Amino acid sequence: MKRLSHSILAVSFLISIALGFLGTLNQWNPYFGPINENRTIAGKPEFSIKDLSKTIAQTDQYLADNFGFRKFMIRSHALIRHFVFNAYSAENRVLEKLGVTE
Amino acid sequence: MVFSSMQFLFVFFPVVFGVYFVLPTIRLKNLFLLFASLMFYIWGERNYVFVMLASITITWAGGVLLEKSRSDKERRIALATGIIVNLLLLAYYKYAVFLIQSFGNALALVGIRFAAPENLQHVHLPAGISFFTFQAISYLIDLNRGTIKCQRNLATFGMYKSFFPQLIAGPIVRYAHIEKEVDHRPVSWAHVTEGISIFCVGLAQKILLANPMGQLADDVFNSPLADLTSASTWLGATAYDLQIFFDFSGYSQMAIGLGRMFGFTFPQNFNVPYTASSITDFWRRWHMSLSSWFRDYLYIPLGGNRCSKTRNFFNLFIVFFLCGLWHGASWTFVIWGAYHGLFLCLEKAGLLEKLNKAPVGLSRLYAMLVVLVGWVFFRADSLTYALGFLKKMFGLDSTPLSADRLSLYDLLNYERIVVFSIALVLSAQLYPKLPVFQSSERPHPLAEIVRGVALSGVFLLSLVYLAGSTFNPFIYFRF
Repeated sequence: MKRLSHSILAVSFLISIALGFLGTLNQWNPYFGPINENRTIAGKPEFSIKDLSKTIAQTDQYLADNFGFRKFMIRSHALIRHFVFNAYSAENRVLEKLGVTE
Repeated sequence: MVFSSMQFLFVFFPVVFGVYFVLPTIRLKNLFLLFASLMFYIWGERNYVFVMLASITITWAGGVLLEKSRSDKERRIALATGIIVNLLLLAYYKYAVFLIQSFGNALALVGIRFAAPENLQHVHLPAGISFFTFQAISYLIDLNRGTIKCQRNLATFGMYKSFFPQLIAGPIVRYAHIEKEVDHRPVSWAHVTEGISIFCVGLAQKILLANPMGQLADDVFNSPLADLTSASTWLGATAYDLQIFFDFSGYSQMAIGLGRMFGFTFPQNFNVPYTASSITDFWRRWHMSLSSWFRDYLYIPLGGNRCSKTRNFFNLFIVFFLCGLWHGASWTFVIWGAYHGLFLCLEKAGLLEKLNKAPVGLSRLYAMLVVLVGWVFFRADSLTYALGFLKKMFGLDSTPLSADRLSLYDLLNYERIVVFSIALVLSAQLYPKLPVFQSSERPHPLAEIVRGVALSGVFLLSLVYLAGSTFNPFIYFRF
């Protein structure tokens, strides 16, 4: 059945996915606040025909760390959690108890 | 690669979706889907793609031989060979280590030391092997029964078996389900929009509900028993109950949605299972593609319920024992399966009749409690931990708590309480039947706009949470 709600969602979905794809290709990464990364972001993969397995693993890690609009989305995530749940990325009472330091 | 990853959403999917709709013929589309599915599998499993290719080739050849065979004997040989080779692949990759370890443990009980050969101490489990093995078996049996026609084109058959939406975690799509769509399928905007809607609902289930519930469950189940109070065990078990439902249902929804976008109609896998009023009812609603597979290819051939009561109980028990083993090569899964089999036998023996006469609330409470206790075996790393956990749950453990005990205050915060409540309400359909939740043939345009905008918001929220979270394991990938 053709439904208007489906079409609205489909348009927003396709636009988001297309923007994400183009952003990943062109490394569009705008942000509106600081991101304190607690680890080293994966660098570009080294292509090796002899070790394709390693190339795939490196590419996977690179894409996981360097997708389009990453900083924007991470910042939005932090802000949503802060304003809706009054939660902070640095605050974690539960994990502290289980042995993970703040 | 999982569907709920940026690699899939921002790279793999846009490329595959774009190219698919540019290709002019179904034949080219099928060839491209085969190529994309193999890339999808290689991305995660590298050389183990050869295991899947072997299963595809053996099953396809078995099918062709079955069709060409002139006598019953030839048919039986072709059928048996196809099934046995597929089962041997599954047995080696999934159960070899478990069987050898169990054999070694049994010998140790009588004082004999047994060391497993080195190559059988660690065997990698190729993703989705349980699913594509069951697909292969159903294809060969259906072909033998004459309910489907043989697919003579190896590439088309390979596309069906390796099709990436259902490859790794189901639903178990039988060839009969999509036989007509393999060669002739409509690809329209209506299918695409419907598929996207189903996919987005699944993505939200996974990212917004299953993952936070998984963190809560992990906090409890990864703690030593001495740290757990009775309340925290109940909370942990319930969180896991919600995690596994939204995780698996979410993945199935994403698979069904993706299939729809490419013109395929996959079977539904869940029908609000936590509203079941008995364990019999639960298995009609939970992982329906697996339970119907066991019904059609094992339970009924064993005699089903058209036999003596004792034999019927035996059939049920065997089916659920194997169902447990299918879920994982560990005694906790076997016990989980046998536990469900036991309750199904009890219900057959008369409990179901009493449950049908009892108030709905009471029968639902019974089913939820039985399922919840079952999930403890499913989640626990060992049988000892599961039994200790259950003792804590029911207040049967008198050992003193450690100084680091986990209270509800330690486990819950505002965010977790909100997500837990939403997950609970959605999983058991505890919301009132408002018109906005009902689908009608002619919905009001304004309601549709609100619904479309709300769904878009949920999708964007899922993307933002996915980007912001690094915690993203899929439970069903180990099967």
